[in-house]
Amino acid sequence: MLSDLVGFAQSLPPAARALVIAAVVAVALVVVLPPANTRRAALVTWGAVAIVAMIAIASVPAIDLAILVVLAVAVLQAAAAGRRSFAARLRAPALAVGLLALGVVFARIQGPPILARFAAVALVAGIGAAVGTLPFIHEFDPDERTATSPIPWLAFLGPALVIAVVSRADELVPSAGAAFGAMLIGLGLLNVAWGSVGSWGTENGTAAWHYSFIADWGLALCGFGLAVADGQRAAVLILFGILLNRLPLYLWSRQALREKLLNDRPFNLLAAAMLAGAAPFAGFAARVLLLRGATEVYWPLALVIGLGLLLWLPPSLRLGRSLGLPRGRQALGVGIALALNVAIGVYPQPLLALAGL
Amino acid sequence: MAAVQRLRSGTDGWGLMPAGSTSRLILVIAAGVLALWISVSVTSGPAASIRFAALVVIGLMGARMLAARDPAALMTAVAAMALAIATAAGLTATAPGLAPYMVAALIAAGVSALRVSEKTHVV
Repeated sequence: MLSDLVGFAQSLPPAARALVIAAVVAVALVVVLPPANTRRAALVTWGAVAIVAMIAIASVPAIDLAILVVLAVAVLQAAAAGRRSFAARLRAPALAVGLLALGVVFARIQGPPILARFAAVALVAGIGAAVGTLPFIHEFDPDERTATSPIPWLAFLGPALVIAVVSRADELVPSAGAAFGAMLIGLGLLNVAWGSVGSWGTENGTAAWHYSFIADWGLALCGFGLAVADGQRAAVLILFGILLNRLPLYLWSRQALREKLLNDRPFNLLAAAMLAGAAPFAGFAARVLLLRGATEVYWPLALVIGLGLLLWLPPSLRLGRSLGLPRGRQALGVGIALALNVAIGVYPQPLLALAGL
Repeated sequence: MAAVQRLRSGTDGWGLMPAGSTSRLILVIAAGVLALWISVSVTSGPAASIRFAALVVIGLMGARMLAARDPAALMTAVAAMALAIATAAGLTATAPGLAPYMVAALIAAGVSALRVSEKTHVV
């Protein structure tokens, strides 16, 4: 068989398949109802590239191939014309590739047990650097177009890569699984706090959205680190939220942010509630699952996560206001995003079943 | 406490370990000892040469990518990194097949052909 010779039998894990479907829906939503002053052709092109990259990262049979795909995607994205220099755009993803590769090499060395812990550290640091969370936040230029900014790493490539690494953690670092999970939780909590406070405190509205992605990622990392079913479910629901809600709302808010149009209408408050993870939105279901998972593992952790969740409200109100007064296609888009989010929040089971959870 | 103190006083920027400072010297010695220990760990047992080569190339090229600004230097580092990652695929118990080597070769060849424009675009 050719696939045996080449060592390439493609298969998309259920969680990654579900996220790819969410990415397709998100791109379709934004293409059908494009943000103001945006060309549909560019949205289709960049959206298709992102989805293909997600599929490639998630479907390859070995972690080495996933890292190589990430390297190729990083170079291609950095080579596209943008406001930041080529070196600035390549630096963080290249660091991620280096750390992940070091982690994989350490994991394969038969030696002292501490090497497995080094591997776990490198893998977690590599995940953080690829996604762009603290302490490896990607350099962000608020005026840069989204496709060449760090946002695709937070929304499209990050989820696929994290699932590729976390699903292989047992096989890569079997003796350091607990350390791997604990580091993910620690990194997650740090990003929940930093992302929420940053999103609230930063002067620039676009940067506030960037920080809000990081805060969401903090929760997702906590969920993956818990290593119990509820934690995994919470993490996947949060990634759904990033793709189906936060990303489209970010794109639709950019024109209002440029024109500095803020609004406090009920529509904006509803969007804020969705971003804050209030009931009955999907974020609420994710947070309940996360707290349940944390209680299962170590109840004081649930207390810390619960305190972190309180930080979500002020930045979410700010982000909701930054949508301005959506009209026409954008109002319809925000409405669809809200409806989708409520549907997932009220009945998340079909999506979780699709993700194999 | 150290971070708060550093934030409140001293020169602008982080500048935690200026060249010639004691803390930098200690870090250099500690890093050297750690590197030596890792080297000793990876240079024993089967396939030691592959492990050592993969670690060294990934580490050095990673550092190069962080420090370099010139696209040509970055592309060279990317090509070497890709080949080192493919080499590391050979450390698994089961043969990885041709896929990692082919993908790495494609990346190495591709980045050599890629032209990078440093012109900035505002969209």
